[in-house]
Amino acid sequence: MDYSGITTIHLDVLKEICNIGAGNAATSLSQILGQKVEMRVPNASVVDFNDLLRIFGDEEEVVLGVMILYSGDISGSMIFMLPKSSIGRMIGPLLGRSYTDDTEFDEMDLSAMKEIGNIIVSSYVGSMASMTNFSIRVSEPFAAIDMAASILSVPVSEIGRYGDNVLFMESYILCNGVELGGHFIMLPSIESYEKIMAVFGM
Amino acid sequence: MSSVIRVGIADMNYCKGDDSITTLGLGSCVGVVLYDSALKMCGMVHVMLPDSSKIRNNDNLAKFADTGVVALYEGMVKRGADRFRMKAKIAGGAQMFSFNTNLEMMRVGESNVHAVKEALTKLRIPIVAEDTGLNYGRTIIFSPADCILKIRVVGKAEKEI
Repeated sequence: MDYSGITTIHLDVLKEICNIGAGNAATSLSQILGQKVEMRVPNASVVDFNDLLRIFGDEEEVVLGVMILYSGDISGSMIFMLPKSSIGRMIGPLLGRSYTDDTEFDEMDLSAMKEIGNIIVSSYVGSMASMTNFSIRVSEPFAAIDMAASILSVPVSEIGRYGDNVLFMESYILCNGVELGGHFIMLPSIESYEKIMAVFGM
Repeated sequence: MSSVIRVGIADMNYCKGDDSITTLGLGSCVGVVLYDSALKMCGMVHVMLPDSSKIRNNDNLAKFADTGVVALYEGMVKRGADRFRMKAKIAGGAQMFSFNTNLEMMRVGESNVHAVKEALTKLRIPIVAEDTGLNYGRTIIFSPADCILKIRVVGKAEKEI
């Protein structure tokens, strides 16, 4: 069993849930970062593993990944990914630091990014919970900076127990009008996906 | 002209002569190379889960360590490799996110390495080199002409095993 039965209507529902989450996330981030943050989810799709590993154009693109696991009425993982080159733009003003392409990120940077990833992912989970009335608990955020494909292998191998594709929510994040090239990926377990759809009468 | 053959996730392929074979950004997955140095030929599989028997949807043999290693071995034999000359090099199986947990999902790298080794032992194929575990991603490139496995890691010098 996998997402093969999914229709564009299902995808639209998921997209709208995430867009509400994205709006909430953008509001919180604007306050914390002191920058104008806009977020939206223009597209939801089911993609093959190998296409997912290339969402940054290249499997070896160095990115930050913040992953959070959720459990309760529905379970799965969510991961927020940002190209390494955009990290400084997001946290620079917050930490009062400047970053170049050669900057080595330290614990402070990683901890700030974890918190930002946490806010984004929690907003999505929050909107999902309020729209479905599900009780959902989230784990602490986990972060790593490495090749996109390597980071994605962790959530992908979990969903790989069920099939060969994943639900991919494309997202745009703009900080003070500059597109950061971030992505947000939602990986509900198959049972959870069915539960979510059932709530919406599908 | 020699070419580089790409192996995707849950995928396998073979190459020989002056060509080389690669898989990009191994994280918790394990890349297994089997080679016959006399014939200058090799095969590579990129497995993502340890055990096919625990999964209902297990048609893709290359996805699992137990079935992937066997399928790669059979493919090598079919292509003329000598079963007593075959050797293995393996890489990957990292724990990408570091934290204290017993969650199976977060420890899948370790389980993958263990399952690959078990499958190779059953087939009596010696592992002559490995670069596994730790907490970073790896891109691997193998050339059957010299039987060297190159490993590329973010922020570190390229390594050969």
